[in-house]
Amino acid sequence: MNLLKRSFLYLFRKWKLSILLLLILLMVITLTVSGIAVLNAEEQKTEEFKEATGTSFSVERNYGSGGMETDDKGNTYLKSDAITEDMIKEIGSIDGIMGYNATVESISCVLKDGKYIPHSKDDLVGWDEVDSHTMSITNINSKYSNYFISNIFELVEGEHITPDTKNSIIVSEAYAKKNNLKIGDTLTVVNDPQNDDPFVDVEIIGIFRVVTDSVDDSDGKKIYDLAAYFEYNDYVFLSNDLANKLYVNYDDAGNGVFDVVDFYVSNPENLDSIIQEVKNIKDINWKNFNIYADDEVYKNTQESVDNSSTLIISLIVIAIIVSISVISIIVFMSIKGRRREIGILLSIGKSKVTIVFQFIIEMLIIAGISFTGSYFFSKLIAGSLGNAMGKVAESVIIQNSQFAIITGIGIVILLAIVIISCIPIMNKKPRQILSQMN
Amino acid sequence: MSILEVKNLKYAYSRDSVVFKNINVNLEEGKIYSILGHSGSGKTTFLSLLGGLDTPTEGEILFKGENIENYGLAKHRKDNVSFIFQSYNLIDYLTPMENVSIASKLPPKPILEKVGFTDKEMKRNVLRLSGGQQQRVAIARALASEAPVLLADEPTGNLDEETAGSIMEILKDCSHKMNKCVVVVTHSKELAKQTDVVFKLWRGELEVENRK
Repeated sequence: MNLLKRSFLYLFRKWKLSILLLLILLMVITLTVSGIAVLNAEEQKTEEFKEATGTSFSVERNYGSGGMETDDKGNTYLKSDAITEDMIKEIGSIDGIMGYNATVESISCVLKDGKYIPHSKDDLVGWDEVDSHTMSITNINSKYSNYFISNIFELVEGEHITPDTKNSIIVSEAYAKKNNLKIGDTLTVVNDPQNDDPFVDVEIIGIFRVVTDSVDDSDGKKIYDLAAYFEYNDYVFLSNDLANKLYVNYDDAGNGVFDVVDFYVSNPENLDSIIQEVKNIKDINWKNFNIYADDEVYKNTQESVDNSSTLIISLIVIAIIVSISVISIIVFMSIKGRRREIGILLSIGKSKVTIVFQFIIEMLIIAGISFTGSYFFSKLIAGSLGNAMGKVAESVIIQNSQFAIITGIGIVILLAIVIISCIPIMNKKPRQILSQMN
Repeated sequence: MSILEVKNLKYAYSRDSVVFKNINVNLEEGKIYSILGHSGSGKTTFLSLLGGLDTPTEGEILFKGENIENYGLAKHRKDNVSFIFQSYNLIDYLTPMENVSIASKLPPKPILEKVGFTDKEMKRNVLRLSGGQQQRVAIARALASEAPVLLADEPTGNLDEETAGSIMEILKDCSHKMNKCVVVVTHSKELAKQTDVVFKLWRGELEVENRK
């Protein structure tokens, strides 16, 4: 009778022990593989988060330097240096900065074919100019606008505003629907028609959707931000060149200068070093500007991710240690209980190596079934486990390479357990083993 | 013809605990030997040394003129000797057929039939057999190995008189009809009388008590 047949007969006839080992192995491997899949998803989420979180720093005009100035019309302005486009380009060229944005916010009226078009809400006052008021925001890069970065808005059609975009506007889906607008349509924007501000034609290049949850749906109205005067659907994004064209009557807006510019870094971990590099730019008089890091969201989320990863790793490690201990005890007791068999096999001339090899084959058969089973089983439960831990099921993926490594390490550990369990018996002379069992 | 030769055999557990002082004996094919001795006299130890389960402190054991340690103890146990134990020593998760198969590539059925097994009994788990049946499985396993030396340690110790008699008949047949050298360790003088040569282990010496 060969080794393999003897191994199968043992596993089959001692089925209770075999099933016990198989289930323990199946459980621990499935748990480990699923846990690692969740960690993978966690890691992937972290990477995506690093790119999408919008970790940034802001360069802000120092309002405390330079004092104030009043013009002929009685308007009061800051005298301190504002941020110029050259400064923005110089800072934006530093490695690790993936983009930047600066905005000028105002209230503008919108016209189509020479007629004022109403905002999205139904509570119109009947005065066309007022009913066409929108919250207009000029942008250098609209995709880095806080509204898009923070997933309050989502661009659903067309494209974002970039530094090269001219005479362009992005409107909301609801606003477009109400006024029957589409990509490519021409609108006219005016900041304040009562102040002789110019009317400027713009082309719709994008449509966004408000995707954040509303905070108040009473009376059939959707209120997204109680502090905001305008409903989100009545926000419009304008290309940066329009600031110079719309706000010609105002000294503190347009003219290619900004009060605050946000710079976005590709890897939040490099934020501090990039800020330091920015501060080292000698062309900029940093007495007139302040820099603020804005990585609170990243840090909070990273801490949450770290805590979650630590919890998963701890659970996996505990499960592995407990399982290895239990398996070791079972295998040790099982081999100790097989002294008679070992003695018999030695007495009929089987070598110690052959006998240990039989035990190894038995373990490999159980391991083979367990690992194969857990490969498929893990795929079934990893998604559920991920869901339970707040992950998207589709993102919890078992990687074959990782499973192969786990299999390799697992088999090495199991073989070590078998070999170590055999040592106390195999160190004895055959007669000692036989006399013990008799 | 001498098949096993024991030369100047000395065995001691420690300096103060000498089991064999100086044993010299020749064992021949076709003969059945018995070894008598009181408990603790070293009967089983002597059998273990002959079978290569242990090694002598001094002296040597030759199989057909070659030192068994040089030949390899595991190989000696595989090729030259087979064992029968008082407690049968069968592998408990195997059937009689399978227990016999582990010692040999010969078909087990004819050998089991020779020791009186039916087809049904051959396929039953060994733990569901009587003591006599289990011992007959152990004998069948020993026969299957085709080793020329059969070493039996109290083979009838756990059996009733009638079964013990039948087992002894099988062992005698092994030596006389199959030309094997059979060495039986026993307490029973009645059983020893049935063998060709009776040795007595006494104070570390092996003495011939009776020779037919």
